[in-house]
Amino acid sequence: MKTFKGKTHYEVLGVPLDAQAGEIKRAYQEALTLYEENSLVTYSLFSDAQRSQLLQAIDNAYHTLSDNARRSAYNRMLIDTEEVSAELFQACNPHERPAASTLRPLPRQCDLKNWVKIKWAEEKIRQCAGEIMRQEHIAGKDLKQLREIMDITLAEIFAVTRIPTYVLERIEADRYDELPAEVFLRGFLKSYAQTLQVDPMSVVVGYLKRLKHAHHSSQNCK
Amino acid sequence: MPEIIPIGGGKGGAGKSFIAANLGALIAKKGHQVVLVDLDLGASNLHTFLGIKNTSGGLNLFMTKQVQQLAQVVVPTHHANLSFVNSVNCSMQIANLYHAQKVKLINALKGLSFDYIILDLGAGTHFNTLDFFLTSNKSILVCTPEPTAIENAFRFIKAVYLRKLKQIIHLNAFHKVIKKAVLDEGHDELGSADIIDLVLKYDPDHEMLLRESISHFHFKFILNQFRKHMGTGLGEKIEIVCNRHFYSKFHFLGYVQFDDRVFESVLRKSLFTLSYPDSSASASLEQIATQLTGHRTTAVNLTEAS
Ligand SMILES: Nc1ncnc2c1ncn2[C@@H]1O[C@H](COP(=O)(O)OP(=O)(O)O)[C@@H](O)[C@H]1O
Ligand SMILES: [Mg+2]
Repeated sequence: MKTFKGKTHYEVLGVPLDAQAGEIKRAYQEALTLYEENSLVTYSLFSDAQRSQLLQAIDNAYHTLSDNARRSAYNRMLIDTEEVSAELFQACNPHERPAASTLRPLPRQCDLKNWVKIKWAEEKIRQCAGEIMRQEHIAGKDLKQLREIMDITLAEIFAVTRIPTYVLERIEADRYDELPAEVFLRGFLKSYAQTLQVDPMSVVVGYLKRLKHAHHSSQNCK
Repeated sequence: MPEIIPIGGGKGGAGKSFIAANLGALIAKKGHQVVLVDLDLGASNLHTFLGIKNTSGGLNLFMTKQVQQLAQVVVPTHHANLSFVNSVNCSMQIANLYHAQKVKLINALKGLSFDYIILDLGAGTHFNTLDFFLTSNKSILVCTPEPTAIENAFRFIKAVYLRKLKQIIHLNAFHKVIKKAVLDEGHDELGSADIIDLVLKYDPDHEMLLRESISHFHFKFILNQFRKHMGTGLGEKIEIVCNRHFYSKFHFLGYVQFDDRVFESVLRKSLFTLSYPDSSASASLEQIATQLTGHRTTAVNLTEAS
């Protein structure tokens, strides 16, 4: 059973980084209805100790995010520890919000899922994905192309997968020598593929094939 | 390849057999070949929902080797494309099924030539029931929106989960300390968290494998006997919470409303969804049947297309 360990306050409440006071309050109340002792939703799911830990984490999150000073300090901490990149926060400074039309609100986990679903309804996207997935070798630039026509940023992929954006960049740029070890790479490719709702296995296999092929030919050249 | 859809869930009376029979009929109506298999050994009543009176033969003949092939005990129902295997005369109960018999049965099921094989499972968390539930990645859990049913459902999910973890460890090259701890009899008190801890301690290289394999397993669930006053959002919220706290994927298929006429249909030996296609419960079941079959074309579709 997973707890909220390692989750940011934003994730605990399920709100975007630029959530406004009202949204945070609603999310808090909603979280209580899920986790409070007599909630039917989680009836008997947790032990008393687990439940009080979860409720504690929810309270903490609300306590911090509902207070401007505490929230700023917390955001600073997230940036300093590289939990969340600074550019993500810049994109959604709660005090100077850009007009709604210029910035799609940063999705929460479920919003991005819906967004990708909606995108999949487009013929152009299905065709592009189909072409990519039929290839034996899959390149990072293919994944990038698919992500971009779906109108999704790396920051959004990060928000869902927690794969640091610099790693995502290297994956997309096929910078094979700078990639993490294969076990991790597999996991990353898989969650990346899942986020775009393409078959994770094919992506992992196709990407690694191309990578190994490249390694092979570079060795032959030497 | 047939798709196997086990229908289970902890509590008796939730509506597993009702849902199995009606989903089976709705999927068959779409033109797929469907066989319903009653695996509630010892307490079977799927035949009642199907209005089948003659229950001679059935699974018993196959299990006692009076016939060689499982296909020989499949019988037609009153509905086109819908076949049935009863287990009324099965002398054994789920608890008495030997390992070898279970493996033989599961393999035989996988070899049936149908598009969909729907398994109606019994209540409880006996490991044989869990193994039937784990035969496929399309299993459906049926639950009602009451505390006691939800409690049983979570217990069932955790039991499935633990069984799956054990299977993975059994099938892969884990460190012998882990194998021994997990697979030895008498370790029933070992929970999923303990197993993960053991792996982290003795065999950290395999942790990814464990998490990966467990994340491949999908749970689908239905809330049955739903009444208006129960408020909406319960199923969606359970889906959110389960996806957050378990490593597997959960998908909420939908609500099926409580309808007094279900009882009457059973008495009249007719299938509810076919007698009352305009009821909201039937509409929900139809919507669920569509979700389950969306990715497959039927022989009818194919001929229309050509
Ligand atoms: N949606 C429903 N509305 C009304 N009655 C229902 C509904 N679903 C099931 N029932 C009734 O509840 C009882 C138990 O259903 P059953 O399918 O036998 O449960 P299970 O197989 O889970 O033990 C049956 O009498 C059935 O007719
Ligand atoms: Mg039953």
